[in-house]
Amino acid sequence: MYIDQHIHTQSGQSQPSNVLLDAAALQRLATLVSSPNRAVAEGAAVLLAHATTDDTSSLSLCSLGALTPLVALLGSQDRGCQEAAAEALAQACAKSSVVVETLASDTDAMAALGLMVKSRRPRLRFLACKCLVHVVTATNPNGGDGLSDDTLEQQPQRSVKTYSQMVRMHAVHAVLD
Amino acid sequence: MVARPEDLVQHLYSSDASIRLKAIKEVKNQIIGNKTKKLSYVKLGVVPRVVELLATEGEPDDAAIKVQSATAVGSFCYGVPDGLRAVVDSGGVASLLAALHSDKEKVVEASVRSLKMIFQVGLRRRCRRCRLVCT
Repeated sequence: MYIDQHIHTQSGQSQPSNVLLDAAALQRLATLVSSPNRAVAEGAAVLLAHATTDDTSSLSLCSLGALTPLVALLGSQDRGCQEAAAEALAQACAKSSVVVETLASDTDAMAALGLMVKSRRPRLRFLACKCLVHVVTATNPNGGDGLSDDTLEQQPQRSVKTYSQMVRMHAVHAVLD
Repeated sequence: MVARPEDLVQHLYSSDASIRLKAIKEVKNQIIGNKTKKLSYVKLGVVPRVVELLATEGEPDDAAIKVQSATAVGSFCYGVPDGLRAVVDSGGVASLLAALHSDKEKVVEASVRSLKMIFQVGLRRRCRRCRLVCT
């Protein structure tokens, strides 16, 4: 992808596509997520999802306090905002166990994600399941045979059906435990 | 009457801010939804000038010019790979990120929209190449 290959040359950063990883930019985006303007909040969440490319960027998201406004955005009435927030959280969960732990301890986030799993919108169901799989895997390490973070990383392009099955499987394991 | 692209390019370099604003607005209106126009403006080398206008500070109408140029930068990237390349090469992404710090809400909104467009267009292109489904 051209943008991946060449953006880093203008910013001088070592990793591709990470002009967004500039501390000032990340901080500004984290602030903009809680903007009352829906278009701005949605756009910032989408950009944060793109900015989360590794463990370090996920942790900075956490330390900049972007998780709380992202969770709040999950409860938005706007479809775009919900999807953008879920995408950013799913991306952050996939990259950092600290984010997963923070999310798991947030009851509001869990409630919102639980509702989203039943959403009529496939994309939203997919993203919610993605977040929940990471949360359940981290909090119940013995419950999911072969469903460790490594496995998820190796097969990042799972279908929504697979993710739903995994969430259901984990729920069954949790009940049996 | 629709102004000729060559005339508009000249007006973008005018010393009068109101002429520049009028010109950038016209360029933006012409390119939105029109790939042929986008390509012709890219070939005329307009993109670096539009990015430059996005970074102007302390001039009359600078907020309005920034809003128009941010929108134009986003539009150049949409649907035209050469436009995306020109924007990235001329430092458009960095300028848009800098514009996020503006105290004018409209400038911030236009910049966020354009950045979102740039990164989503990039993602879609990558997904198509990898034959993955991405909504």
